[in-house]
Amino acid sequence: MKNLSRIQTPDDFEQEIFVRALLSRLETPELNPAFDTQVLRRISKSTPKAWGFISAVLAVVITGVMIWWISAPDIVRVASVPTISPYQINLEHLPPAPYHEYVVVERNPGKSAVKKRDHITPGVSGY
Amino acid sequence: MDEELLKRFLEGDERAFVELMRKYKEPITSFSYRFLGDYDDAVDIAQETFVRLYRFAHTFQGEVKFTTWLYAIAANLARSELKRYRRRNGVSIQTAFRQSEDSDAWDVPDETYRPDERVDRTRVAMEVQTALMRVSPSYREMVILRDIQQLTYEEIAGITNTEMGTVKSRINRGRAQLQELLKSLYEEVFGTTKTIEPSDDN
Repeated sequence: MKNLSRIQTPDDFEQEIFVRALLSRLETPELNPAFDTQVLRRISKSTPKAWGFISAVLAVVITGVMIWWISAPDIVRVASVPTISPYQINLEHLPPAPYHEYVVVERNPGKSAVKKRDHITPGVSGY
Repeated sequence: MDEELLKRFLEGDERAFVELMRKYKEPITSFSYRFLGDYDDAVDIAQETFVRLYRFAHTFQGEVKFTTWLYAIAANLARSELKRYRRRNGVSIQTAFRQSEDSDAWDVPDETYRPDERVDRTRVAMEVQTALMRVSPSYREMVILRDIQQLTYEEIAGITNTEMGTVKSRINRGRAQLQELLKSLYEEVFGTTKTIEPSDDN
């Protein structure tokens, strides 16, 4: 037995005992006699299972819709537009271009008498 | 036996639930109080723990002891309450800035704690509770479970979902912090400051 070395205690052995002794002296808080009743009242007030299920389903549905709304790709509609090549146009049978008469508005009405136009240039639109 | 009471409760015997509640209401309230430092919050956490037990008892799988499961509910609630409390009141500007980056920012000791005289009526009790509140919450939780609630390391590992090695190291660090904080108190209470050195005769 003499060959066995002596077991050394840690340096703070006693201090740790003092701390643990102080902790063990702490008292348990006294509880209000109504503790049990309050717990049972809280249980009865808590959400019923059916409502819990309904709210869970609603939450899933709303989340699904939100995810679909956020992650849905932007819809791009491609409409086919007829292209006209010069070969397709029958130049000999063009419809008559509509005639528009542009009315020139005089900015300075005082000088209108001096700068009177001889004729009004007709505007032409269309082909 | 707790598991037997739980089984009876799940079979429809509500008295078994009441029996479980009466058996554990004081330890759970004590744990919550020592962790949070506020009696009203502690009672609220304890009551909520039993409400959850009532509603979610069917989810108990029996992989751990019933007490481990029950303490785990209380510990989660208490931790959430502490985080909420820190967000509401006790977060300094520096901590608030850190909070966005560091999820452990809540794990800071409470330096401004004032003891609750409804529970801790003696000066020694007040000083010990004040010192506990100055220990980092992640250490404090484990020290309370070990040295006040007298749970095993294995149970604490189950409650906090932590590796056994981490549990031991956190308890040691928590005790070391308490040694520093309570030095003058235990010197006064136990009337000793010197450590008796073992004689060196080997």
